[in-house]
Amino acid sequence: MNFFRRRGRGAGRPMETLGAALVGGLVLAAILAPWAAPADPLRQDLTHRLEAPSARHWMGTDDLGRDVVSRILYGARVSLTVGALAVGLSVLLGTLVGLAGGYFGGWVDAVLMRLVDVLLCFPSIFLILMVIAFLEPNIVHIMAIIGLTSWMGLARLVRAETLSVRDRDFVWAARGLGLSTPRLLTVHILPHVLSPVLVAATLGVGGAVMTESALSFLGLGVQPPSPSWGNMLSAGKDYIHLAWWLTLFPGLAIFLTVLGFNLLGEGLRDRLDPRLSGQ
Amino acid sequence: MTLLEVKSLSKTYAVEAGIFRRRVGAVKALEGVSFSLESGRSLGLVGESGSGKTTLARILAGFLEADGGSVLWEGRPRESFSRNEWASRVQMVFQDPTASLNPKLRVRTLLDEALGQRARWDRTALSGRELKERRIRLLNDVGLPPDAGEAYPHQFSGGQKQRIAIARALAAGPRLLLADEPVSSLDLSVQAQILNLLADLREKFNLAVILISHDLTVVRQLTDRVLVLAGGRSAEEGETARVLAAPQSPATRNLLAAVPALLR
Amino acid sequence: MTALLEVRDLRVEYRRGNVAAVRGVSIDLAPGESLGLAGESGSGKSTLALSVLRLLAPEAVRAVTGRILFKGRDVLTLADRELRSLRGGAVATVFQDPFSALNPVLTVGEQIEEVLELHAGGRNPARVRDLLARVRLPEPDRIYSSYPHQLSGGQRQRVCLAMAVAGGPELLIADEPTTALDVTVQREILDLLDSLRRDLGMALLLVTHNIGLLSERTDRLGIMYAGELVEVGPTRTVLSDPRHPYTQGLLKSLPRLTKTADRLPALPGQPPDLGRLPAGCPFRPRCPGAFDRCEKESPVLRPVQGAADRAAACHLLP
Repeated sequence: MNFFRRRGRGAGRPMETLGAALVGGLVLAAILAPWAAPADPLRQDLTHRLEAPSARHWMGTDDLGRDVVSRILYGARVSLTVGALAVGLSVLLGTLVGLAGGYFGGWVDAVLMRLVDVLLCFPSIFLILMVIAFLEPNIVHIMAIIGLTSWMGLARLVRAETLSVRDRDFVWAARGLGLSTPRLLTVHILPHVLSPVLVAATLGVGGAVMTESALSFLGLGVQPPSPSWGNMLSAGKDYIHLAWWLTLFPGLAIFLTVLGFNLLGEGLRDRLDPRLSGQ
Repeated sequence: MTLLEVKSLSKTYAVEAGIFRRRVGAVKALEGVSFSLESGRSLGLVGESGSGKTTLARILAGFLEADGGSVLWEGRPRESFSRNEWASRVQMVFQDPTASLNPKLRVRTLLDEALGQRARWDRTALSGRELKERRIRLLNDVGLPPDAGEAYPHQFSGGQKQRIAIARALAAGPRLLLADEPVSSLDLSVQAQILNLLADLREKFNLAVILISHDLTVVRQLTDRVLVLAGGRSAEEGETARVLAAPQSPATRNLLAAVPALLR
Repeated sequence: MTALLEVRDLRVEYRRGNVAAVRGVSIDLAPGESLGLAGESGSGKSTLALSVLRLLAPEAVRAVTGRILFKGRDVLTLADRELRSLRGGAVATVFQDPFSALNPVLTVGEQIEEVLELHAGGRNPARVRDLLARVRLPEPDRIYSSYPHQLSGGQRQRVCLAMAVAGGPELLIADEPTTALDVTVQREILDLLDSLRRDLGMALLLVTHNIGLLSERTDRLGIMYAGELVEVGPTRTVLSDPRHPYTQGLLKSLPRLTKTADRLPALPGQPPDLGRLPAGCPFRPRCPGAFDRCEKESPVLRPVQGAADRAAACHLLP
């Protein structure tokens, strides 16, 4: 993948850079949280409850006197972890299923694609809520369930790419050499299928972050006192008239994160797509 | 010695329609085609598109199963050979080298892959150095420098890419090379080089060659015998020079008519 | 006699790779004449042909200099409206892939009517059927209401030809019109092109990589190499007595129906990478007769000695 070839598109480039910057910012925030956070996100100070943003607390304090900035930074950890691992799981599952269906065809493909069709019929939030209702809500369960309910679209994408790559002459040549199926799939087919996967994965992180925030907002995700942007929003909604900063900042964080991943994903798609078919 | 014998080969494709994909008709891609090829000799397979020559080539390459008839290698039926055993005997050079070389792999990886397979079939182990030596010799055989291995296919011109594709086919050590329109996708000024290369390699390695082409001038240059296909059937067969000088079938005459006066 | 088309010192540079696809080409075409333009990949022949109607994608092109005069007016500086009336009208085009040249959701008849509307005064079903017959399509009524995907490759190309001549062009530009077709159909299409030209008195610019195709169908032949016109003249004499080493080498290397030797006299090397052209003559690395001057200056297209209608660009020539 040659990242340095310019495509000469007008507005695309700065948007992609903005996306990369936002994502970069999120990653930095998440990694550096323990050092960058001005205060312990769990430390309560009941004498300084619901204070507006000030020099001491850049984003104010919440209803238990906790510093919002610190909670936002630690919340970034949650979002990033969930986003990355959930998407990682869905990429793994989706790629395996898509490759298998696309390459083997026949009944394997039929069975797998019917499975995908069935799973796609369920609204994922419904599935997630059902599962979480049974399991205890913690970050591992959330990542797993988001990953397990979002791989289907990717599977279809990978299958479509696999179908088109499978018939290319260089794959026939490799088969003509009697190469083993695993080698064919990993060395010859998979690299050509990855570009759309990368794009879908990047865009998918935004979705995963949104879902986690929604779950936490509903109380089914990360449990207080651990900060998550979602549960911060939920707690903050009761004080909307008194303390606007309790909802603004987590909301802004979610918004910028999802925006960042979307812009980056679209930028990647522009870069990778046309040359993929040309090459 | 007869290397390859094809007897009454047939292949029919089913045409399916409707939600339940019922068979509504059949296309006879090949019907009762027979020919034989001696070791080290060359045969041209000519016909228009739809004549069945591509289907025949793919069956011979092992990519497709025939529905009827038989393919014999030194008397043994094709089915008695495993995938790998057949690959060690028959290799294909594809029409478009840009499509037949994996763009994401370096040339040396492509060649080593094939050399490795050959070693495996021969039950020998190749050290890294031996592998490299063979690879360089292979590149030399097709007229490419040793450092060509370090580059990616897209860094080469069309003619050079086809040389790489030929090298890969040779790496497997086949006794029969199926060349599917090997020069049609190449620039005219380079075609002669590749045709000469194929002739050289054929002599050097005593390769049998089946050349699939619609261009009779290429077939004339490179083959001893020619089989003309039309509508899946064999229209005419014989010594290339004679068939082209005195064509018997309308298919052959049509193909001849398509040759411009300049090249007669 | 005024030329119908005069290309003067055309130079076309693409953005990608900063490459000059056409490097100072001048060529003329008389009314009713057929000119073949032969060349390999990178020769610039298609770029030249597309430039005549400014059909190159504007975002891909960095610069176009020189002049292209059609009946005395410079196409490169024409206003949009005039350019549009020229396209499909006085100057028509036929491309390599008839499938992508036709709109898949409109019937054939509809598409030809469109041309008539724009360039021939209005829709006219009778004229459409007439055109379809002219391009030797049987059952014009059935074809009229067919969609492109229902036709064979050869039939589609005939439809494209019908659309091209519908506007009554004075010049038809055909860029690889038969390359995507079956070998036996190619001849029919070229024959058709020929007869259309003679019947309608059109000039024809036929661009192809297959030099053999041009041998029977063009009055004059131009050979392009690395963006330059290296030889031009009457087709018959250029092919029977080529003067430029490239033309000579190329023709000698082509296989024929009569085999003369086990190995063909091949030209060494390959067509140059336009991004990395050698200094001097672009053909020098492959030329058997190259000498020191060839490396220093690029030869200019000059008339060939003893033949006023021929020219070649080579230092070896007097």
